[in-house]
Amino acid sequence: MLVALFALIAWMIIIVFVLVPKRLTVTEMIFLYYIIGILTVTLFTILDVNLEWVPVTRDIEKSFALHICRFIIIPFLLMMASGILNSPLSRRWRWSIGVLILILLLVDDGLMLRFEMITFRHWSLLYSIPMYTMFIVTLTFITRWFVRLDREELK
Amino acid sequence: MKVIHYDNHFNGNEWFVIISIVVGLLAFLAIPKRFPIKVSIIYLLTGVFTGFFFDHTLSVIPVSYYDLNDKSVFELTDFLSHVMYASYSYFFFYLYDYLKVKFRYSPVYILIWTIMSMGIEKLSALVGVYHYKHGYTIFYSFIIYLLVHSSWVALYYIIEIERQGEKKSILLQ
Repeated sequence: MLVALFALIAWMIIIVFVLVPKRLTVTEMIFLYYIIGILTVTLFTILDVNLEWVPVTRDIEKSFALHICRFIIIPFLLMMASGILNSPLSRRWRWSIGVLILILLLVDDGLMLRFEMITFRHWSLLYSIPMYTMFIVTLTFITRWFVRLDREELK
Repeated sequence: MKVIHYDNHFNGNEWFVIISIVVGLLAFLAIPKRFPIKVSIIYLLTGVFTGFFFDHTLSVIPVSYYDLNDKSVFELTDFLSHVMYASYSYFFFYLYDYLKVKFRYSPVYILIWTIMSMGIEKLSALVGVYHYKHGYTIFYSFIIYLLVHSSWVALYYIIEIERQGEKKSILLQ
């Protein structure tokens, strides 16, 4: 049930991701996905295994649902945020959509908490705000750097 | 969570990881450039990401089939163990492109790399990079390597199609 629910959410995110106009090429999106995967997996592992601030469930089904969150929902939301912040939209629109995506990430965290896929020991949703904001800002700059790499190579 | 300590010394596993990174880096720098910089970065990151993906799904609870390096917690050497895969994936793509492997021969190419990967994993396990648990053996990795290398071949074609498209659009300009 839980896996199906999170698979449905993930699929909705994928639908939105596919429909949203993108300025990034496939190569750039793959790069971004890899970077997000590496950064988030490292941080989530440290928070879970090393610090034990956000321990994850031991239940198999919940664990699968958690993997859907961490390898599809969160990366695709972050990719959308990074793409939009690098788009030619007006600053107001870019940041408004960025904030909306941040809220969606927090809702996702809330759902993981509600369904006991994760537990907050020395953590709260308030701490997730700067964490995801940092992710979005960092990824926006990394994306900008990567997109411009071709031009530097041509010089 | 109970932390398992396998050893605390700077020994075989750390040296294996460091030497692998250095040798991989030197080989990467030594061979002629074959791909545009963005594609090279993707091919390097493919190995790193794959390492992260499998080591953080198979080696964590609830399954926890193996631990990496000296402790069951995440350490710097674990991070470097993933970085070690960068040159490995790069050479997978590099040779696939260099040898101009035809699609129908890709299963053979995948099998050769899978057997080679098993050998490297066996060596890694001997020096203490991997510590198998809960009945996991290297033979389960065989299936994972087949899947991983197959997905890498698919990735190669996805990127090639985009590159060919870019070349065509440049020619049309």
